[in-house]
Amino acid sequence: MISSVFLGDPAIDTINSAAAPEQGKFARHLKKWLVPGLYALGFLLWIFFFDEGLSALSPWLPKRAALQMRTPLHVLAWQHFFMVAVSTSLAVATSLLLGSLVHLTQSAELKSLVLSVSAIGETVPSAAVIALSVPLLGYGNLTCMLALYLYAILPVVRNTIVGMETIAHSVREAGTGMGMTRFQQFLHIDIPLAAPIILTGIRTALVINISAATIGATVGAGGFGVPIISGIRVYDPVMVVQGSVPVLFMAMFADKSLRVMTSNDI
Amino acid sequence: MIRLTQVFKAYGAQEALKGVDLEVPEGECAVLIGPSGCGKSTLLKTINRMVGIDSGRIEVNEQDIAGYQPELLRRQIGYCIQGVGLFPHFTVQDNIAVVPRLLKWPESQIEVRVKALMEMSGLPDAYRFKKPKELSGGEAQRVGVCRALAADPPVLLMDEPFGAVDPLTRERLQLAFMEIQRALKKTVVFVTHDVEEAILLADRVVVMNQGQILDAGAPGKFAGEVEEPFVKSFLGSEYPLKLLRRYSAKDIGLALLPAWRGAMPESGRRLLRMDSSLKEILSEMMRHGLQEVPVEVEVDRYVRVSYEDLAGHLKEVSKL
Repeated sequence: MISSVFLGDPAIDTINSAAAPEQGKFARHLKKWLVPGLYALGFLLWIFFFDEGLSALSPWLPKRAALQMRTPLHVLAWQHFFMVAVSTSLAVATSLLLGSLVHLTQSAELKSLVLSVSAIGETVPSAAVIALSVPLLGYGNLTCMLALYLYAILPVVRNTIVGMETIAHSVREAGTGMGMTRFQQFLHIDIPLAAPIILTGIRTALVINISAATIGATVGAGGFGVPIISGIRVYDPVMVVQGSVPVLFMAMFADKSLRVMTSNDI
Repeated sequence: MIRLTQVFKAYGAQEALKGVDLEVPEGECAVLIGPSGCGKSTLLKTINRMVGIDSGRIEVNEQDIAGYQPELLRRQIGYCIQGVGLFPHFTVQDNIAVVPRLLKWPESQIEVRVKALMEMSGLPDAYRFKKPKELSGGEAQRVGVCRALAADPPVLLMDEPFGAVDPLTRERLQLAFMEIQRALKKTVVFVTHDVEEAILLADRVVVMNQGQILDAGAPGKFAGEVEEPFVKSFLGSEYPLKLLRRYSAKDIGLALLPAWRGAMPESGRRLLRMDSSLKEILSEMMRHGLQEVPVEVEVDRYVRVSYEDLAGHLKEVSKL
């Protein structure tokens, strides 16, 4: 065949590149998960060995107030995790549905409306959202979860719409031209090609929620906000640090592991 | 066979197609050519209903396409789009298999088909599991052609399929496509703005401007007198010279030509053979300032091809 001449010798390339991944695959996975693993380790050490560490360091620390926190850290961790996980996953489900529906209507006006509403919505401080939900649901973690839920919808909806919008015109046309129905295109083209951008939105929402959930303590929702808020009240910086460091670890772990999961250079 | 009768299409006040009549017989390749915005792409897209028409009638294999559900119609028509448009998240194999999968072919049959198509278009088997971004421009275009041919459709629509590649790759793609078309004999509608591409691939050249077909005929036809002023200026005054590339030495009836006598012209020149194009033969004459050159018809047998033979051939095809 005339044409096979100018394609070089691909057989050789393929053999070389096929052999390499097999050897280094495990090592590369290990390397990728090393950083998130360290964050998780730091988190667990902080949760379970905080008191031990504190008493070891006590000679060098300023004298602390008599009032101490009664809830153990691992319970706060669970409360925090629960609020974030429930609110974020419900928000992701809602916004995927909402974003897809907006995309499927193919109405440019609706798209730009939703995009600008979500941009404005994100400028509302999360503390205000929580405060405003109190009259609705009273004190407790439900209020906090409602606020976090509303807050997380915004970035995910926006990225769903934008992600599906930015698919190359020729790819879309190919889908139609090959005889895919609108729904088949949505399933086989829109979703997989928008997935990386949607996941970026989910990552943003998750990180925002992990930190915003600390404000929940002001409405009695529990979580790592409890030591932070009480630490501020009694002027105890150790307590503030006790609550904020695990939040930091949690947020970094969530961010990094979602990044690792979505990077496809395995 | 494709037949369009009085097809009209307007985008608002902008008339894209103004009463187009076109017939492409079974197994022929019709090349639509014209300047940008002349409606050639629009015309192509009306055939698989990517563009709906305002009035008129389009038949594919004696069936009015208005009677089909658009998706089902498109699965029966091969489509090579401008800019290739491979699905970036699919492997080469999955890209080619799109239409067969939509048609619910069994997987084993799909794999056989993909392998056969890739071999035919000169893609190595190892490429099946590559992603489009790992391919060069020319390779991606080949995959695009394979994808259009995957379900063995009787009709093929090609919208500037060899657009965004360098001239050398483009020529190779054209030759590969000619070979495929010679083997498969599809009914093809091909859109281009490149006159040389049209000359090489067309059984029938269809010149369009401003939503109308101005003239149509075999490529040779336009080497003679052309009346229509737009067609004349669009195809250009060098058209006969470009047309020479379409024909090779074996098209001019070498058996009737006298054998080459006397000394061969000086060494170091290119050896002309049966499959050299007439353009190469003319170039060789000009390079050496000769009126006649030897062409090898079989080992150590040369015939004398003269300038008159070339001009005579063009005259002959322009009358067909």
